[in-house]
Amino acid sequence: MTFPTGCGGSSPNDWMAANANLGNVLGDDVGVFRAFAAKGFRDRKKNKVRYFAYLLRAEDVDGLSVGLSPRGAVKHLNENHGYCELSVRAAHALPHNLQIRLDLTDGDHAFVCNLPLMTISDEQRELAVLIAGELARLSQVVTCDPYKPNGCDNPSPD
Amino acid sequence: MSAFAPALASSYDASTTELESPFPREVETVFDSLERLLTPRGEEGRPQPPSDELVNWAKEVLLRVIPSAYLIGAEVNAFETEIHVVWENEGNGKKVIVFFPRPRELKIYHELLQQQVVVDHSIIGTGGANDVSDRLRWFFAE
Repeated sequence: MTFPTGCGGSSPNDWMAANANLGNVLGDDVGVFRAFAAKGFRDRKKNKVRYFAYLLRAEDVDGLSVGLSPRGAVKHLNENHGYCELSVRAAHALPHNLQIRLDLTDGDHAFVCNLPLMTISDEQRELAVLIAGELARLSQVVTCDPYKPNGCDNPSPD
Repeated sequence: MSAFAPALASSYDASTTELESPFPREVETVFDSLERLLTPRGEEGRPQPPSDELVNWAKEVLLRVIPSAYLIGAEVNAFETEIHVVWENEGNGKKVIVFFPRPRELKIYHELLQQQVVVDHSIIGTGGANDVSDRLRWFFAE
């Protein structure tokens, strides 16, 4: 088993020690929300999530950001292009040791941990794209329009 | 003169058919998508887009080397500083992604989905443009 990135460290102990922001693993009975930070994260015409939505970036040191509510998903973004919902049970059931952990600094936020970082190696890239595609297929688009938590939605067509 | 007429007519028909084929439109679509990656750049708060050099590398592979017929359905995307070009057929579950991570470098991923399960996948990490054509031949095969 590898703990490549997205939650730091090369073993579970290193991993937890290196990530003071990570709390308990979420229970399977909840859903989490992933914001579309870019238009390319979703296909508006097909109403589908694309694999880009679940690719880890080097700056995602704690893991991939998700919200426990739509508000929690978009709160750290300057702009968004909608969001989707992902079943925690379905994500945990994938054979990739994914864990969705609470953000200790924000009760409305969590991280998808154990996602590979594709820039590390070809092997990690292959796995990153495979997992991102699986998570995208498990996700349900809620909206492809910008979500404004304060209620002043201002959808802008693509 | 009349003896040459059928040949001339045939030649004319073939030329017209070529002009009416969808391939030039696909080339234009991919070209426009790559051009759009060049702007906007340098905006505060936005991630750094792919470099001009990388866009030119992708143009060279996609527009000069790969047969234009293979550009049908190609979707060009930027992810951070990389360019990803995706072909996906939901009907037969085939997907090909060509990654342009750096100039003069490309990687080719493919997967086969059957009944919502990925039954085959691989990546070629040091592929050349001919490897892209080979993989797309698989993608477009019945």
